[in-house]
Amino acid sequence: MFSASDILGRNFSILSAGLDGLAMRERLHAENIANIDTEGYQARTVDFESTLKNAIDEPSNSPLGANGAGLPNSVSDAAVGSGALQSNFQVKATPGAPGVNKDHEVSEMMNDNIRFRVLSQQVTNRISELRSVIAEIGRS
Amino acid sequence: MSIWSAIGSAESAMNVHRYRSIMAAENAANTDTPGYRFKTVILQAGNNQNLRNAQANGGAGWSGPVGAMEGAVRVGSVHEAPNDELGDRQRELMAVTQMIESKAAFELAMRSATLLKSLALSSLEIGRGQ
Repeated sequence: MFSASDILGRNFSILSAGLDGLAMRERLHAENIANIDTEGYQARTVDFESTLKNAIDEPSNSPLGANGAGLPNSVSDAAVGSGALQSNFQVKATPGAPGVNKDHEVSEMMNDNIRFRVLSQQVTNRISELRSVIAEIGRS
Repeated sequence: MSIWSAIGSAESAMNVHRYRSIMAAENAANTDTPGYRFKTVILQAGNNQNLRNAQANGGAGWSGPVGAMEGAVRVGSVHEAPNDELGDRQRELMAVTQMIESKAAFELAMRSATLLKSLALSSLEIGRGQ
């Protein structure tokens, strides 16, 4: 059984988990902003960066498996293909008193928007590299 | 639980704040009306319990169908002040404050919807072009 990371590589899985994390956080910013005047509402956020950092720094501890060098490991590739990284993202309440900090939410929403575009550009680049490789193979 | 439901929560916020500004305008117009009860809109966060209640009761609270959903906002209740609770001057000031606040909150919700839209559009660009 193939998974996305067999063809596209492990780095692609990290990129795509990053896109999911950013989209999730963007949603939470929007929800916090929607509830800016709601009494007793506690703002929420998600920290996906630490999950991704663990996956990059210590491959043996992460769902990506013991070998970070790109060699196939069929159990962990299947796990990654099914979104194992994303299932470790945890939504939690921001610490401190209830209430929403409007300026923080708006500026973080704009920042995450930019980060999302950066990652999606990298994904696009990876896909067009593959397209070139496939085209080149087709020519020979 | 996706970027699309986030746009729904921005939609619910726009509906709610528009309703608040309508109530605020009514308060402002009626500062001298004898017997008028000054209205304050109390907001409530959408969550799974609200969604179940709304589905059971066939309605979703005043911000349309999205209002009861997790992460959205809806009108919880409208508080009507008894006749002598507020002085005239206080009523005038509160009505003006409500108008300014609800307009600002509405615009904030629109800004949030615009950022979400840009995120969704940029995800459509993935893989496009060489």
